[in-house]
Amino acid sequence: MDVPYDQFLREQVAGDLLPASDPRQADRQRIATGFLAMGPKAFEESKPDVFRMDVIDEQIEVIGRSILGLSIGCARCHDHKFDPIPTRDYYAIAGILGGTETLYGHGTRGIKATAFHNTALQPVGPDAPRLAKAGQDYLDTLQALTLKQNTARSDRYRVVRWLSDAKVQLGKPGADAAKLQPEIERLNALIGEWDIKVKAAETELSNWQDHAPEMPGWAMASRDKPAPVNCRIHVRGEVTNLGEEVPRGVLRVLPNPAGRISPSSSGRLELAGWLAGAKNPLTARVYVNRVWQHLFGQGLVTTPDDFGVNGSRPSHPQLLDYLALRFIGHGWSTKKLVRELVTSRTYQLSSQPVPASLAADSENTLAWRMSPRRVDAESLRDAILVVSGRLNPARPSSEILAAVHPYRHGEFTTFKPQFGQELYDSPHRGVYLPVIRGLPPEMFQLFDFPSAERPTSRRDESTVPAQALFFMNSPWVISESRRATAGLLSNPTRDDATRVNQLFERAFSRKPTPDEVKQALAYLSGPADTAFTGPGHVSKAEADARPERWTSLVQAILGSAEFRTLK
Amino acid sequence: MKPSRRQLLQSASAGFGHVAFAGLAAADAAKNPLAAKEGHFQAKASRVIFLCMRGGPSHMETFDPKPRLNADHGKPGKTPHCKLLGSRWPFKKSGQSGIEVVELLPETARLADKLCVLRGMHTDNENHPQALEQLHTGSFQFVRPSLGSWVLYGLGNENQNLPGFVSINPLTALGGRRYYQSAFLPAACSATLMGDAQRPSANASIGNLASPRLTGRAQREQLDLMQSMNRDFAAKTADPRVEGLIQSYELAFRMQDELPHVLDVRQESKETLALYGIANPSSGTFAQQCLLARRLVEAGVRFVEISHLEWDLHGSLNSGMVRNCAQIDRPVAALLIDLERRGLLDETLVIWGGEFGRTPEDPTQDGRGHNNKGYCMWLAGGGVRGGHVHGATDDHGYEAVEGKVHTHDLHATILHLLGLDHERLTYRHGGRDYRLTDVHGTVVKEIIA
Repeated sequence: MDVPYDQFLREQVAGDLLPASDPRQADRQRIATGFLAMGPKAFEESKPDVFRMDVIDEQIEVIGRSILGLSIGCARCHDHKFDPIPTRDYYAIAGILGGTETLYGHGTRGIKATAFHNTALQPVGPDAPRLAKAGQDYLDTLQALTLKQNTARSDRYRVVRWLSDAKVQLGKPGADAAKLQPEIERLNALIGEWDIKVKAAETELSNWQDHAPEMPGWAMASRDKPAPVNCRIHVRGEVTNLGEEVPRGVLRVLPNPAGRISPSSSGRLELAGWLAGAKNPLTARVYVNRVWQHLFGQGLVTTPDDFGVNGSRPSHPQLLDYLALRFIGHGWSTKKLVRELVTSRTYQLSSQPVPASLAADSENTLAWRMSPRRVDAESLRDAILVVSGRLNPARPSSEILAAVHPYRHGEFTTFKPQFGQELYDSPHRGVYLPVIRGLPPEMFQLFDFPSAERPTSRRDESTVPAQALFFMNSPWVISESRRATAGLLSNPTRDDATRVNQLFERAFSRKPTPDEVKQALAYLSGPADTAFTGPGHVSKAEADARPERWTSLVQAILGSAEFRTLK
Repeated sequence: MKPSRRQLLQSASAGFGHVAFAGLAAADAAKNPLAAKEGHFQAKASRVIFLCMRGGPSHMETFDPKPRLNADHGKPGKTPHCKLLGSRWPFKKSGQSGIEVVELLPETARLADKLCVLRGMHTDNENHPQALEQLHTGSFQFVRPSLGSWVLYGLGNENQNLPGFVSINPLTALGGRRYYQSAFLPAACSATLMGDAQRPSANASIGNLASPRLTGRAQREQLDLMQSMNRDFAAKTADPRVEGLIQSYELAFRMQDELPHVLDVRQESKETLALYGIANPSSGTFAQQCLLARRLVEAGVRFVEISHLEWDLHGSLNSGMVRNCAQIDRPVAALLIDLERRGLLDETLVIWGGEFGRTPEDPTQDGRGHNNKGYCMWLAGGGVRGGHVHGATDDHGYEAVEGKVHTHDLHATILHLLGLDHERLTYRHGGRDYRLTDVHGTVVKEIIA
């Protein structure tokens, strides 16, 4: 698939409003609009208006930074301090998104304070028309019954607290027993009544859960509200301080206008068309810069999320223009863009340093060589699995999370923190691992995997001792090293020099130098010296055997700078 | 001939630690964001211990006596159906300063002259997650770096064998990780989390600190092999980051030795263990955290946070206050005494408090609601005025009315005490400069000694 980038954007922002030739395409386009629904949500927020504006703000921020390279979000509270984006424009876009219903499922279920949350999801799949209504009704009732149960429980608990307070009062010297004693009896009776109500609510809920109907597929998505309205300016971003109403629209500073927004539609289709238009001066440039950064390590513009006044100037402005226009001319094809870049002379330069160039441009801003760079967390994990021989390059047959998480229908957002690292012990590539906000795998946390709570255009490249400790001591690295060892030693006819060759080729994609072979063989001939033998560990005999020494060698290779660097 | 950076490091390796890292920082600050740095001006404090009282402790049951509230007990409150609820415990004027402290905290009261009580605290949000996030990061709407991350970014770490920002037994569920993260600051400024709220602090440590298979000698031999490959690679690629990687392995190797010692409280004398009340079942876990906090700052860790989790007393105010105060009183007092007798209190800023306070009224009459409009915290050591009370709430304790200190002001003051100007401690991200205090914050000059 090489979905043209302009089409991709239209689908992400307004796929539900685009024509579709068959139900499959319609589903695909609806699922694409999950882009607007899947951002982080402050489910603790108890004020519906604040929550709603926070969701819109997150959408504007992501659209602005990722597609346009602009921090539009700054204009929520005041005119943008640097870029020509007035508050008015922010609320013009907010009006469009406010006219959109975001189907994100629900947050923590059954809490009174957050009961206003929409529980709807988008039904998808061939059976959706048949099953959707009953399925959604079931989910709505499930939410209502959970709330009823929890409310009954907390109401009962309130009486329990009154009772305990009355008993404390009674125990005090000089207490008015004549008044308190009947009160205590009354409260006891009241608790008895509540016990019955709570029990009834619990039974009702559990009966309901036992009778879930056949479900369609559910997806996060977006759809237009029945009657879209304009948004009023929120002075200083406050929901309680409303200013003038702003017609729905887009940023006025860009030269390409959006299509006319009809009073009966949200304007999301026009927003999508405006973002993805060939005349939009930012979209294509921001995108080709991202692709360039991905391939070359740093962008022509080194602030990929900020093409505004405060962003950095492009190092090669004409090249950026050329690539953007070619990209549009080639039908927004990512494949053609990548092909053009990777077949360039610049891309094929080696990372070999040239002293004179190094002295003149140590940052390699002018791209005179390949910049050596860190392997990211996912690739590093995959590369370790390649060395150990465990990587399964195929796509997993189902979502990894679905296999682990016993969720009931529709409970997409209530993941409990008890997921352990076993969730991530999959032989599939890191790109297929689930990303649960606030719960990244240990290795990803250590190796600069970005926070899933905000858009990140460039990852950090940190060097901290905790990473070194991971390579030195993590049971996972050790077990993968042992696995690699087992593979290397599996053929008894090979000699150690051949095996060292094999290990280097697999880990570094190159043959070792004669010195390196000598060094490795010398290391292998040393005595094993394991700290822990006996139950739960290898036996003394095994510890002294050559495989453990090999394991140490493999582990040293995995932790080495060369293994962690693309060059 | 000017020595190369590596020669410099090698020559300094005998006394490795601060000196060598200062050298490394000068050579390439970007590579080690944790290198110790000078602040903007002469600092009062150089380290921080934050005793985070999660849930929002009641000010009128700790450090803010409200005689008028007691007198009006049972009268209608501001909210319909809510009656005013007096405090059940008397306060005692303590120390020479005569600061009033609730009788539930007798050990802390003895140290009243060390405390600088802020009775006019207020913050923007009355929900726990948002208020806790603002307490830690200054913002409850956006993901922003933690206070500890800013401090580490501003000052670096003094001991390069240890992490610079440690949070012991943090609550990591429900978005809690956000309270300790570096956000857009260099990732190395994130907190090192030891243990979590679900596990007792006796087991708190960091991951992968010991080899499960090799002896120190064998691991050194393995490391030598790797480092030799790394040095070849550094020479071949002229990639300056490889040098940082080589150093990080050496640090990690040393950290394996040093950190377990720092975390091993058994090395303390019997007298010290008794001082904190380690053996006491009511205060044991929190006592252990306090002692670890002292050991960590003593070893040169810049910012340590520990927490007590159970201050959200909507019900069972009576029993909850008795239990909580018993758990924190002796350990907190011991921490101050211990820091002082080791000469560390002057340079260590101790912060006590939660995300907000409680309401003077409640429908249940054995609990209190959330109150972000007025509450108290206290500071001690680190250049603050001891035996001083700043600010006040109204007669009932609803709102701060005098000497008001917003969370932003508190942050500005903490940075100031550490020698950092909150308006100059900035980081450029997404096209603009960010601050811990955003566009807010006034240093509370009155509380600085």
